[in-house]
Amino acid sequence: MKSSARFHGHWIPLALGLPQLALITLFFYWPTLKAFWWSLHLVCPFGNCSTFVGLGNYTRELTDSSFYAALRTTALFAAFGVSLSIVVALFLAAMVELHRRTGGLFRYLLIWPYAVAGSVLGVILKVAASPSIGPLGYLNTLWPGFWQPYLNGTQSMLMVVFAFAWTQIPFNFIVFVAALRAIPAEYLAAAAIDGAGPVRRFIDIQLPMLKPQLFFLATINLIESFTNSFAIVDTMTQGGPGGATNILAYKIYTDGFIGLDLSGSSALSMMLMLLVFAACFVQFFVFERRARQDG
Amino acid sequence: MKSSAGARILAWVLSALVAAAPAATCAAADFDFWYAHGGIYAQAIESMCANFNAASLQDHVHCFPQGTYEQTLRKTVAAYRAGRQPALVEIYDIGSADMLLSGAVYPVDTLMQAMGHPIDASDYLKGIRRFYATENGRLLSQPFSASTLVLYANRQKLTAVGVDHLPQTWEAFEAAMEALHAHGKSCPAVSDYTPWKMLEQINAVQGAPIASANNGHEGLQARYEFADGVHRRFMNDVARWYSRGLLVPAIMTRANDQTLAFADGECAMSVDATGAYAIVKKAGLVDAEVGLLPVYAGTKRYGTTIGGSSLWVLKGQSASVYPAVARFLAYLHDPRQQLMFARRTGYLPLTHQAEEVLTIAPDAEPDAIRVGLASLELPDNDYNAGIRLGFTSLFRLIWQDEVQRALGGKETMDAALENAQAHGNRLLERFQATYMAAPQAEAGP
Amino acid sequence: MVERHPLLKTTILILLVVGLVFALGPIYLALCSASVTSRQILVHGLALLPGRHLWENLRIVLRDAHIGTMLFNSCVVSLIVVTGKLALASTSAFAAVYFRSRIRHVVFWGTFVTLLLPLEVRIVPTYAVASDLFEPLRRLIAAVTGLHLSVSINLLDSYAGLSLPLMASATGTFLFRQFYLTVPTELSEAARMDGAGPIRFFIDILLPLSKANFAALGTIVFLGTWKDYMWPLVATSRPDMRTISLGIATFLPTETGQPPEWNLVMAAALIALAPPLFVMGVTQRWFVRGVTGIGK
Repeated sequence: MKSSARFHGHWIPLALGLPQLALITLFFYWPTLKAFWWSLHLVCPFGNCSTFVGLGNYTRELTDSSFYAALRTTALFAAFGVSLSIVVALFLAAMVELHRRTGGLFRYLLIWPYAVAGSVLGVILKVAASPSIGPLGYLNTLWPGFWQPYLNGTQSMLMVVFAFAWTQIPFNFIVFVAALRAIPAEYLAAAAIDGAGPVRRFIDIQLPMLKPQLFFLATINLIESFTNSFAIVDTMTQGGPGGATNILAYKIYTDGFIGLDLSGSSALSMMLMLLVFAACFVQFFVFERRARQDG
Repeated sequence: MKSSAGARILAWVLSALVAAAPAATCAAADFDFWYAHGGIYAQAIESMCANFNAASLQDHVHCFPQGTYEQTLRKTVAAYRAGRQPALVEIYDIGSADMLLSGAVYPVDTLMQAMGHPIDASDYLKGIRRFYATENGRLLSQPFSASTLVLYANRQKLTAVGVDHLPQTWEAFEAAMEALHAHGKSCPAVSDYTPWKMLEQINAVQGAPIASANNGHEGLQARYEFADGVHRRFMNDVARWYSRGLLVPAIMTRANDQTLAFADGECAMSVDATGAYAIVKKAGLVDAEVGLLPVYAGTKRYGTTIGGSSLWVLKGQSASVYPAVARFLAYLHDPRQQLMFARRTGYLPLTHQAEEVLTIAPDAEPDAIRVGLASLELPDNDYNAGIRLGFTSLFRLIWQDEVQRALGGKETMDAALENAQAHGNRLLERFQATYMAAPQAEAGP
Repeated sequence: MVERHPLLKTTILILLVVGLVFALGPIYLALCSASVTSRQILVHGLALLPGRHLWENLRIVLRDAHIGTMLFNSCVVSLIVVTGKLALASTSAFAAVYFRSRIRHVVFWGTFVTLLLPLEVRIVPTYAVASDLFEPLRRLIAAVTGLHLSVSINLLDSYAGLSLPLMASATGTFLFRQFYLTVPTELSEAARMDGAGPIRFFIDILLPLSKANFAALGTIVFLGTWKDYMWPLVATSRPDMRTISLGIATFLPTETGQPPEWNLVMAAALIALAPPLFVMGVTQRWFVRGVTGIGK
């Protein structure tokens, strides 16, 4: 922006920015600092002691098999959840774009799941997936003992991945629809005249032009899978069975709030922060570099 | 003149007497009591608070529910760090280690002694006292709610398959389950597969150690030792019962809950807490019979241990508050209050005096409480005083995860128990390292 | 679509319908089970067709005092957060864009960092901060003057505690900054030449232009706050301070000793769903615009 379009003065921008900054300092920087401090000490919950252990908490977590189990679970959950939500949303968006006439109604309805809280979905799906009263219980009459999501780790992971993808699809769908709309109709018309079918057009024209959105949504969904999945896990499986759905965010909650382990959960928080930061970093710089290459 | 001099002397004497009266009995005191229950338990506690306030001219207790046991403990921690802690708080059994090492506690026995309401630790029933007492027999908190583990059985269902006596050994228990299974019953016995029942209580009744140093009562150097011995034998039996469909997990029942699955007649047997009897009675199950926890044939039967909560007095209040707190604790200690609480909630009475009152009126006494009390009276050894170990809440989750993996076939039960023990020991090491630098708890306010 | 092939059109339609079934399936299942009796669910399992007891079940659930309170709490908290976030986002983005002072960099980057580290990741220390808000200031005063105050503010179990931490994020600021960068610079140039101060410019020119942005961000923030679960979970323990999205997870409208009444649980789920669904239905246009704005 040209400097002639900007205002002079220091006090007004300071005053305008201060409330937001104050709030962020209080509820973001200070807690982050606290977590960092705690992660370097062994802290008594009541505050009557704290022993400096340097990176001791980190090395302990990194040599703890339950940390790697949680990491693996988080990675699986993120990978499947994000892929599923992006693929399905992309597919639906492409369909809706191909069928413009009735697309409007579908577009309107397919966004509704966004209004459903993770916990509400969790409650509904928990009952729906119940082996005794849910419709999936019929599977057990055909193959006894087959559908046991609360005893079978793979099935419970399936449930939470499905639930998570369900909550993410509306957002992705909207972004994809808008991006597809932005593609000039002439490109598609020209390709159709050349004899390309809808699938060909999708792969050759639409998909490449969606790269920015794909990267962007992958990052957003990834961050959500680290964090916003808590409601789903807490209402449906509580990290079980046997730790099969014990994602890192859930472990942090359990260690910190139930075990009163301030040091350990802070070290985990810091590591999760690094993961999130890395994801953003990758998206930002990879995307920026690609954008510069393409444009 | 004589009369005015006399009046002056009288006035002087009276004012001297008033000034000399102990300040404590005249000072009105308000204090906060944080408790950790909901539903019928909360109602029972609230009525005790209301009765105390009504009967007391000078004291007023404000009773606040704080959610679950975990929520109450973490709110207490947060409040203490902010300098806003209540005078009295109810903390669950496995929070005892944290409370004892917190440096935030005004020991109950010291308080009661200082305020003129001395409470003798030996008043309390053996199992309860041993759980909460320190090495030298002091009670730093006042036990509040307690339950132990007993066997529930549906008499009608058992006799229908030819089992006439309540199983008293695990062998008989297994035989009963087999008989029920052979007769086509889908749920011979139900369990929620939790460690308080399967590890802590079973090892107590068998007199087997869970951890060294007297299960942690002797200090922070304790380490878990349960992976061999009776627990391994029991859990391998449990794995076999699970795979044969004899011991059904609670989540696989229609009722989705262990107590309810027994109470509505779906399952024939259940190893459950004495407090569950209130629910069983409410559901109207007339054939419910309660017996002692089974042991292995040929082994000695020891007393079971307890689970529940105790009341802790916290430092940092103004001096006028503590006499009122002492009076409230003395009020709760009264046998009448204990029995009222026990009748409304199904928790056990805590002291010998309360137990005696209970035996005088046997028809008012539920089966489960009678059996539970009998179970607590059995002989002791070094290992059935319950556990006092750090990070127990996290350890219980680890135990559950490992056992679930073993039952799901991902590892053997022996390996699961070894893993749980190894993880648990890492937690204990860290707990010990954390508190090495902490100043020891002092005795005063 | 360019082709007019009927088979292709039908296939696409079928696939879209399948997608719709999955998208609306859970809501439909909740509706069906909320409209039957408890006994039917226990005997026949979850209902797959609507029954006739919907209003009855809804009435029973609404009579539960907690549901009403929780709905109210969700409304209050969501509205506070929306108002707060819109105000903070528009003003701090203004400070970050329309001034020469280097302060604008501090404002922008200082808030930008929060995008990278969501609340759930720092939940334990944020809880500690919320329980003792005055602590940093107390420490500062003690370090500087040696004076030990005993003031402390506990935000737990309060509306402030439920809403303030949620306002400490930069998504809104980012959105508004993007928008302000698209506003023609001639407007602020002209305002400066006319001698108008920045506040005048903000109120008279920028705000009216931002109406659509306010609507978009407002909707997204309202829905996001309504759905929030983890922060209310740790920040409240009193039943009367819970939000509906939190309360629904543990809602069990049964007496001790009775099996759970799933029809009432589903009815409660519908009640928890209704307000955000309504808001979504009414404001969908702005919501979509907001999301596509973020996507750019």
